[in-house]
Amino acid sequence: MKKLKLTVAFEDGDYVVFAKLHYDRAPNLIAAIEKVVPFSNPVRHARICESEWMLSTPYFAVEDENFSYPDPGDISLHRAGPHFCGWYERISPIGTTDIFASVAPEDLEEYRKKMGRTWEHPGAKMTVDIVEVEA
Amino acid sequence: MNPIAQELFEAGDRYLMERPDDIVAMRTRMGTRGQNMTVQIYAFSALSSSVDAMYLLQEAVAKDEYDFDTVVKFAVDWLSTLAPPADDSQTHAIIGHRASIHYRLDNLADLVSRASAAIKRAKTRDEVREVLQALEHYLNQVRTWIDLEFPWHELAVRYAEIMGDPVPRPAP
Repeated sequence: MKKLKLTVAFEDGDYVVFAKLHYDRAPNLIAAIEKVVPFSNPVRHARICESEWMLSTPYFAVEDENFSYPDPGDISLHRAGPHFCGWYERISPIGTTDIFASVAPEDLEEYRKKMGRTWEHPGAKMTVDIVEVEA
Repeated sequence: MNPIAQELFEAGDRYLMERPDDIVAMRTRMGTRGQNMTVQIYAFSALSSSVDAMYLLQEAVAKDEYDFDTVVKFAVDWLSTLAPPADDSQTHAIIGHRASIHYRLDNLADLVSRASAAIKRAKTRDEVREVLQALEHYLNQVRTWIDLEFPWHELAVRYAEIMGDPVPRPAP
């Protein structure tokens, strides 16, 4: 099974988290992302939305897919730019977005603590890849 | 591919992990009373709006609901707020030189100028869309590095003190 792999190079060591890819709801979007991974960019925090990290991506133009309100753990494409967005904690969504992957509920506690750092300490290198993992 | 689109895409890709030289220059541009904060805020806002504008225009130019000349005119006029087209460098209005004079983003101003002239010369929707997408990518990457330069957290804490707002919540 393929999953989205995020590796964040924090000062005290790498943090790695995997996210389930929603092939059933965003197949074209995931196919486009598969063409640009792996890539890296400094991760930063959103400034209006409560608990959201952001990552600029290589350029690709796609149509909206699975355009919906995010929940904690969801990862989406914001088409303007474009950039990835990831929600790590409670949120009052400010709009719909193209959700293509989700961090598993059992990983959310650590994910919340790690990604919450990006407000106080933005700029850690995040590497995005799609890799084969055992189910 | 149009040479200026190629140049913009390559610069954008390079800036995924490489801090643009323009950011160093921008940090030396002092605004009112010798401070840099307002320069950064204005540059960040201008580029953020421009990324959205390029995104909307590259979508619009692919559709027939807007006529070609209108999309080209609006794109060039919008880009003129950052830098005038390379074939119209006599424009000296304040609104036309923000990238270089206001923010000291000189490389960005040069690329935007040449891209804007290329859009004016383009004959087809595909040609225009390619340059707009390249601009969207390039401006997004430069915008990202301004974002990373700005001490949002520290200033948010100080802002709350000044305004008498609640103390910002700590990290989870």
